[in-house]
Amino acid sequence: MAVREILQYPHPVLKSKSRKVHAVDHRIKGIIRDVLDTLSNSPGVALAAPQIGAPYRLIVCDASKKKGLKEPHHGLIVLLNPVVRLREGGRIFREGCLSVPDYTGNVSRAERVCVEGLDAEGRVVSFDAKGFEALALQHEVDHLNGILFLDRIASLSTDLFRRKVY
Amino acid sequence: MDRFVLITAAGPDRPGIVAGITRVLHQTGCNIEDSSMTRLRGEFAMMLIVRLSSKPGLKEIQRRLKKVQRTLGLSLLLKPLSRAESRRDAGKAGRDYMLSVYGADRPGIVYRVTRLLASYGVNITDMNTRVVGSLKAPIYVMVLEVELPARAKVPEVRSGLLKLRKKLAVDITLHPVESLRL
Repeated sequence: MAVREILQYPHPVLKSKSRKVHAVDHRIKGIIRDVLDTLSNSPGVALAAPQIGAPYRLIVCDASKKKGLKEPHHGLIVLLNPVVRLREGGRIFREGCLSVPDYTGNVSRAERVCVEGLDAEGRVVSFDAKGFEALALQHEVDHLNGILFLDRIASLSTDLFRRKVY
Repeated sequence: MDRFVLITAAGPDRPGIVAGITRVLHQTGCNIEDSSMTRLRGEFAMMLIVRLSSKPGLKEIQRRLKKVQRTLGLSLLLKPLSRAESRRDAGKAGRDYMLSVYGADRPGIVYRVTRLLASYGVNITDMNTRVVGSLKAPIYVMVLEVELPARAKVPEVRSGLLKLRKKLAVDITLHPVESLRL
């Protein structure tokens, strides 16, 4: 159980696909613990295992860490092999990432998602998430596929008005 | 007949720059149409397309702007625009794409990427670069909004970018601009 270093881009693990978890064994339990400890010790709201150098499909999210969040959410979520089953709606959010310092960008995300996976005991669970929590879950699942928010920038901060005339 | 000018100005950033310039424009009956202004590190840069009124005339506007320019320590250029240049829909509409390029900072990233885009006739309509990360390990992030002309084939542009990815040791993502009408 440890607070680990959060890897920074251009560490190659951040641009790689993470491996499926086949059994919640002693090693995976230790990684879950480390990811949780590292998240608690950081200003962030969610973290993916590759961000601490463990290339496994494992994410944690705790929307209650966001100050003043009034939307409903599920608190601490631990998900193994998460899959986004459903995406609805679209919104632009301003995102940053613990692995990309000093940079935020406008990212287009689904407003509502259904994410399915295994919990820390290996049982199938699913979550219907909205708004901020949905954003965080999509961001973390992206990490498992080597995708950073930089790959999903929808518009430049200076360009609020579309160039096309509708 | 309406006359338009392009004003570009830049100088050390401080509160009061936009108010100083726009006071002159307001007092001389000008209308600010489209503009783009941004701060880069300690400098503030502005581009404004302005419609002139008939009075008091271009010379007077230039005289008043020169005074403000000196006070604010700005470099300023005023360029009359032709009717064609000032049109709202100036520039042929192509397909809009977002291009992200990022990696360890090294010389040549901007030049090589933009040279490749130009070779396909791709036009950059907005662009932003930032150096982030630590001094020891700086990361370069470049985000562009581009217009693909009808003749540019997306798979070709993608494969050109892919070759460049390896050469420059950067990550590159090209995706169409999505719009959501709410």
